[in-house]
Amino acid sequence: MRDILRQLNHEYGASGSMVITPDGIMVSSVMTSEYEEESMAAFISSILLGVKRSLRSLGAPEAMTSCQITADNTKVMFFCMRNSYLVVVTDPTHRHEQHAEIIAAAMDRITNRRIA
Amino acid sequence: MSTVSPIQKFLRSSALGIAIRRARNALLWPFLQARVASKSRRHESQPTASTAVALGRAFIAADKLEEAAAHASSSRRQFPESRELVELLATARSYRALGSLRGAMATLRSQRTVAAHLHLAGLYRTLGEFPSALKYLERVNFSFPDHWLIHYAYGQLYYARYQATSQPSDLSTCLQHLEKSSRLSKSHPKVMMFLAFTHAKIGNHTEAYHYLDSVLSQDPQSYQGLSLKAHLDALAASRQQAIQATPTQSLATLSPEAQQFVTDAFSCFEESPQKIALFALTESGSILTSSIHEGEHFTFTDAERVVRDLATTCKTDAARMGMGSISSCIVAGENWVVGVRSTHGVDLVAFLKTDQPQNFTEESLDATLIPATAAHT
Repeated sequence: MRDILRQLNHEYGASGSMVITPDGIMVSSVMTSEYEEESMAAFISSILLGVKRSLRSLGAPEAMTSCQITADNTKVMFFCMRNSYLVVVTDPTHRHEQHAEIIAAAMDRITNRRIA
Repeated sequence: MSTVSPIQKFLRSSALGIAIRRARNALLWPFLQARVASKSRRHESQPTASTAVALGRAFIAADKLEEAAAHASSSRRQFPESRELVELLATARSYRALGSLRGAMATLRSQRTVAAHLHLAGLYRTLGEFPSALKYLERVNFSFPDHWLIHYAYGQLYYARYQATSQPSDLSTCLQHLEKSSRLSKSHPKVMMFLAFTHAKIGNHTEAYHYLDSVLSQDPQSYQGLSLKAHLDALAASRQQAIQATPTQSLATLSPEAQQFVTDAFSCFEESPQKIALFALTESGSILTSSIHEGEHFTFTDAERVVRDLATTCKTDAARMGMGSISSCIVAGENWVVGVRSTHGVDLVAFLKTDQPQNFTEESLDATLIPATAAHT
């Protein structure tokens, strides 16, 4: 999984990526030294659980499929992979729509990977 | 949690230390008793936080740890602002835990039960020795991975460590274990109460109410449940009062530029075929104004609290992480998006219908809410 994330970071120009469970537990992560892995996982977990909780309270018709948060220095994107989420951290000016196929390919590789 | 000195550790957990302490207590018994009686009289005649602390310290000096803990606990309710009473309670509990350590270890050696492990882990947690507590929990969790009390104890441990170190990851781990404990115990009121309390503590009031409902449906007279509910209701009422009393004044308190921005955004939103609902909030979470349309996608009954939570969720740890201020958050479902846009000191939370949520960007959100996007971004 780390190889897939490493390749994703390289091709997408991301400063980090990780896979977390719907409960917010980190499965695997490849982050640049800019962000401390554990803290980033806790932050992402907190947002994921918070957003899901709010949507549930508002009676959202189905689970969220993606989430994109843009801050002054960073953009964080979540993509639902049924039983887990792919999280990608990039520069705030990064245009996801121009590189969406890279994310789709990585998600495909993660969900269909063979466990050695 | 208090830090126990090595001398206290020696006096309360080693055989020689216990013997010395007992001899000292026997020798000074009349003096210690008289001191407790004197402090007690003084506290009864003129109860203040400082007389309560003095009585608590006299109890501890006389080795009356149960009385000290009970007194500190009840006095805290009377004087909630007193930091010294919090420390006193922690000290009494720590000394009590130290006194129980030897017995708990002996019990564990003779009975390797879940209860014995949890008791020992709880004592170490009280003493702030988290690695030792974790060691005993991991040992018993290895044999009983699906025991709800073990995950409850994990929740207690991570919560205590969060209080000591303020590491956000401890809080999320605490909640994960409590949620697992809740599933395994089929919503045991003890677990639901802890979940409610933890969510209330971190400001997730919607979730806190959810767990409180479960507690009170199982035990309508639960003292802890009713106390927490009263506290949350009071907070909600004060916020609601602020919203209802001054909705337009609140808007008027914004800068003219921000007022224009909000007005334009609502006009633009009303013309959008995608509209479901739009809320405008101040940065502190007060709702300025809203527009809710009928739709099959969301339920907006009592939406203020949830929308406020949604708008503030993203911001909570972002600055601490060095990410800077959040400018937007876009959440997408199958045929809807929820967008939070922060600018001009105002948060706009928009609920929109769309056939292509995967292509919805920050620019799409701006195009829906801001007539002349370039002028505001």
